[in-house]
Amino acid sequence: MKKQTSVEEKRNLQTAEDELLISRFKAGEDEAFDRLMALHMDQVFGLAWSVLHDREAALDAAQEVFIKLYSAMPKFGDASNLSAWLYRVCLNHCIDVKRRKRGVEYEMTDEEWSQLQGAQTDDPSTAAQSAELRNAIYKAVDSLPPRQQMAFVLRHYQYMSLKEIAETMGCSVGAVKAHLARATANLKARLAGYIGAAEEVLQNESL
Amino acid sequence: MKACKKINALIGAYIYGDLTLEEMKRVRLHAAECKKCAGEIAAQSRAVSLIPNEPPKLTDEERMQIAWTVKGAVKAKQQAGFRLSFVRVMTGTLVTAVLIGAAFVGGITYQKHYGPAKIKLVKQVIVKEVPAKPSENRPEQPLVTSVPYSMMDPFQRSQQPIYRWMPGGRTAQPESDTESSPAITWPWEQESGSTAPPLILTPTPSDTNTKPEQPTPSTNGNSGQTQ
Repeated sequence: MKKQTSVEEKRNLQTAEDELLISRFKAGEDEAFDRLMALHMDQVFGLAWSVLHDREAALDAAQEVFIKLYSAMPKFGDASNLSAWLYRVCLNHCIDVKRRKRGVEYEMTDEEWSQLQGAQTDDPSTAAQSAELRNAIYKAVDSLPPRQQMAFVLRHYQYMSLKEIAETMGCSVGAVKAHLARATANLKARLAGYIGAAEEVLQNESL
Repeated sequence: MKACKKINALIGAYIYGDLTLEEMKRVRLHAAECKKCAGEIAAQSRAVSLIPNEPPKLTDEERMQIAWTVKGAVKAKQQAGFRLSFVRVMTGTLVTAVLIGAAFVGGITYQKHYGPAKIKLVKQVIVKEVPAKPSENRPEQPLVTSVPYSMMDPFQRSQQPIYRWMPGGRTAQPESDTESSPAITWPWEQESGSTAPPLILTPTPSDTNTKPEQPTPSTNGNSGQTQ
C-alpha cells in the first residue's frame, strides 16, 4: 500500500510539472519543450519498444511522437493529461507502423537479448534455446489484437494501473480487465509449448 | 461453468494484482474449488512471467539523437509551413489575376458582339457633286415637281413632259384638234388663235373699260419727251 501511494505521488508530481512546462511553453519558452521531452523520452521509447520489439523502429517512433507533441502543444488544456496523451499517440503510431510492416519480421540480435536478460550464456545450446524462446515471445505479443496488446503492454511494461490504462485507451476499467484477461489467455495459448523449456533455460542460466 | 467464465475474465488482472479485495477473494475461493481454473491461473502467470518486463533503456547518445532529430524536424516543418503559405498566397494572387483578366477579355468580347453599336469617328469626307454624264440612250430626265398635274396652270402643263406610262394615259403630243381643244378659251387665244401664251400681255377691251386709260409705251415716251 505504501509503495502504491508513493507511485501515485510521483505521478501527481509529474503531472504538475507537465502542466507547468506546458504553460511555460505556451508563454513562448521553447526550452520548456526540451525539458518535457527529456522527462518523457524514456517512457515513450520503452512503450514503442514493447510494441515494436525493435530498437531503431522504437527510436523513430519516439521521434515521431515528440514531433506530433510539438504541433499539438498549443491545443493542450491545463487539465489534459500529457502522459496519457503521449501513451495513446505512441501506441497508435506503433500499431500503425506494425500494420505497415506486416510480413517483415524483426529478429533481435543476441546482444540485445542478453542486454535485456541481463545475463550472459556461454553454452551455445542454451543460447539457441533462448533465442528461439524470445522470438516466440515477441511473436506471441505481436500477434495479439491491437486493443489487447495495448492493455497488456501498458500493464506489463509500463506498470500502469487499470484506471490509467482505461484513461489512456479511452474505455472503462471493466473493458481493460477483459482485454487484459483475453491477452493473458492468448499469450498462454501461444507460449504453451515453451513454458517447460523456458523454465529449464532459466534454471540453466541461474546455475 | 458460468462461474468459471466469470473468473476467467478476471485472471489477467488477478495475475497483476489489480483486482479489488472482493474480486480477489472470489477468484481465490473459486480456484480452491475448481482445479481447472487454478491450473489456468498458474499457466497464465507462468506465461506472463516468461515475458521480460524491462524494456531497454535509452543511451545518452540516443537521447541526444531523439532531441536533435525532433528539433530539426520541427524547424523544418515551420519553414515548410512558411514556404507553403507563401506559395499559397502567390498561387491565390496569380489565379485571381488570371480570373480578372479573363473576365475583362470576356466582357470586351461580349460588348463587341452583343453590346450597343459603337460610334466611330471616321475621317470627314467631302463629297463633291460630280455632274452626271448624259447617257446616250436615255434622254435627260426633267425635274419632277411636287405640284400635281391637275393644279398646274396651262403654261406649266405645257412644259410638263407627257409620257404614256403616266397615270391618265395621256399621249405624248396632242395630235388631233378635238383632243387638244381646251374647255376654256383664254383671251389671247381668241385674238391670235395660238395655244401658246403671248410673251407680252396686251390689254383687252374689257380691261380698258374697268381701268383708267393707260397710254401705250410709245405714246408715253413721246409725251415725256415733249414735256
